[in-house]
Amino acid sequence: MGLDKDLLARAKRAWELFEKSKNPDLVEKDLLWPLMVFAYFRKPSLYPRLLDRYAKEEWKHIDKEKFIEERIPLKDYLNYLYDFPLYYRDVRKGWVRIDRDKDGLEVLKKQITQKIASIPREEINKRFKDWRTQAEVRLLKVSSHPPCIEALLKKAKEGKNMGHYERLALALYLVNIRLPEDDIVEIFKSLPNFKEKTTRYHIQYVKEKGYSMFSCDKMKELKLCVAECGIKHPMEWHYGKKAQKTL
Amino acid sequence: MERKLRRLFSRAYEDIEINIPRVEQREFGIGNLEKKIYKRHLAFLSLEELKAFLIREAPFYISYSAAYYQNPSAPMEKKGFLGADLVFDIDVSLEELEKAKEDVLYLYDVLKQDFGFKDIVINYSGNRGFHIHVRDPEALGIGKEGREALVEYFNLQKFDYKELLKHYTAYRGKKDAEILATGGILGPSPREHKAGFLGKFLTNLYGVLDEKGRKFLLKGDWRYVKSSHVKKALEKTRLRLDVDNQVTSDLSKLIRMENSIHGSTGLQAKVLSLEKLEGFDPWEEAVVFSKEKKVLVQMKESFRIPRKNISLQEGKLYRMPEYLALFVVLQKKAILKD
Repeated sequence: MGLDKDLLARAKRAWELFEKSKNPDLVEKDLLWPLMVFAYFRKPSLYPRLLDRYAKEEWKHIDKEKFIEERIPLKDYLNYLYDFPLYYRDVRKGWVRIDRDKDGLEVLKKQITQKIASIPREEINKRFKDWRTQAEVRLLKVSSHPPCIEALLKKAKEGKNMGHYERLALALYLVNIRLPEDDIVEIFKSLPNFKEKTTRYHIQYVKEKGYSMFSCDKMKELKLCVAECGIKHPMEWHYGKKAQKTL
Repeated sequence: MERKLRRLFSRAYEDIEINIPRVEQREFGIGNLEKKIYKRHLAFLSLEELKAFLIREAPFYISYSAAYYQNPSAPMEKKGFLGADLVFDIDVSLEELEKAKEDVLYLYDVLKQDFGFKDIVINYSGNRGFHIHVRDPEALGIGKEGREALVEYFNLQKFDYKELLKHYTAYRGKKDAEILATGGILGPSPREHKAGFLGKFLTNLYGVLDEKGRKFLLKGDWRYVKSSHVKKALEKTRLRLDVDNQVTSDLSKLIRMENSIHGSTGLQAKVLSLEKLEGFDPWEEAVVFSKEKKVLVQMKESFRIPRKNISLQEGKLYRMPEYLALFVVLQKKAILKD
């Protein structure tokens, strides 16, 4: 486990396989870990299923009696098993009785997650940089976007005329999630006065200048914000606050 | 008026003993009459420095972090979190303090008997309730989720007896008898609060069953346990508390400093021993201002002093003991006239 050298290659392979099958149960055993690391940071909705499979596999080979006692200190319970209400348990003098099989597996799961969570996000961004572009294309198809972007995408798709700032905001967003130029062009194609050359020129301009996406405040100012979705910057929707810096 | 109040606070602080463990690793926050915390990220290197500050600045409110930091005065993300006391807040009202005391006693007992904590400090909040600080080493590292789980143990928000029965299968059989024997009424020294929520529940369940039911229960056989039995046992067992989740689970929360003066009442957030708690009356034990000296106040509105049965009329002038005068003034119901 951990961030070994060929994690990137294996994660790539795992992601490709997963893309074909869409079934976490079909991912090869030794590709499961890299795919899980990827999923934890990039595709949280996929993570629990992968974790479940991975942990169950590990659990088979674990010496349960060595792994966990039948009574564990309260602080361990609160660290690993806080999802399960304490009042259903036998709790005495700071010791909690657990079910070795059922609870042990949950403890293992938490330990795995805590291990993955301790990998610095920056490290992940660095390692996964090369193929993020490709991944994000798919991400665009499968995942969601902040409401303001959804609204713009809808408008573009329906071929409505869009104002300058609307186009700019959408282009900035798509450039910043590293959607390939061709795909961006595709999205703008339905606009009434679409000109491929002009569109490409603008996309390249934005890319070269390295402009970042408008903040939510700016979006509000431009009256492009459509909902209080609880984030401060549209890019947070995908990457969270920290990852934002490394984009 | 504010200057006069400050002078009184300052003088009172001269006689107050402050004893905060690991004071140099705590963050402090102070408040004025408008805002309970208007300035935070303060730090003190020693108790002496803290006390000198209290006498010099005489803040109307002072709070400190349950958390310990490497650099308590640094901005939040640079503080270097080292752990945090486990804190519970039981906030009721001055009138209902007796109910709050019962809750504190129950909480204290569970902290000791169920959770095995030993280093527990109880203090009056200075206003409407009590704070409980747990400082055992095992408590300091509990995360946010773990603290929420502890609050839930007291508040029973999601409690469902069907779930209990479902989870319970893991303990059936010999374990019923074991729990009952070591913690419940069958044990050598029967004590109700010995075996956690589950132990209490089983003990009470045992109590409401007839002879036959009891015999079978001891073998882990629930066939004579009806849902009416379970309900009855639960009613006896569950003491729903109203512990403030936010105070307990927010690791960067600032909480009223024990033994400081509360700027809404002029009463002291006094540390109380378990023995003192039962008979505790804030108008006796938590008073820091003079009971002899008389002060003139004018009421801004009609007001009744809680637990005192003193009703005061809007607009009228009253000459009353300093500690009561300060109470009505700090409650913003009156102004000082002298």
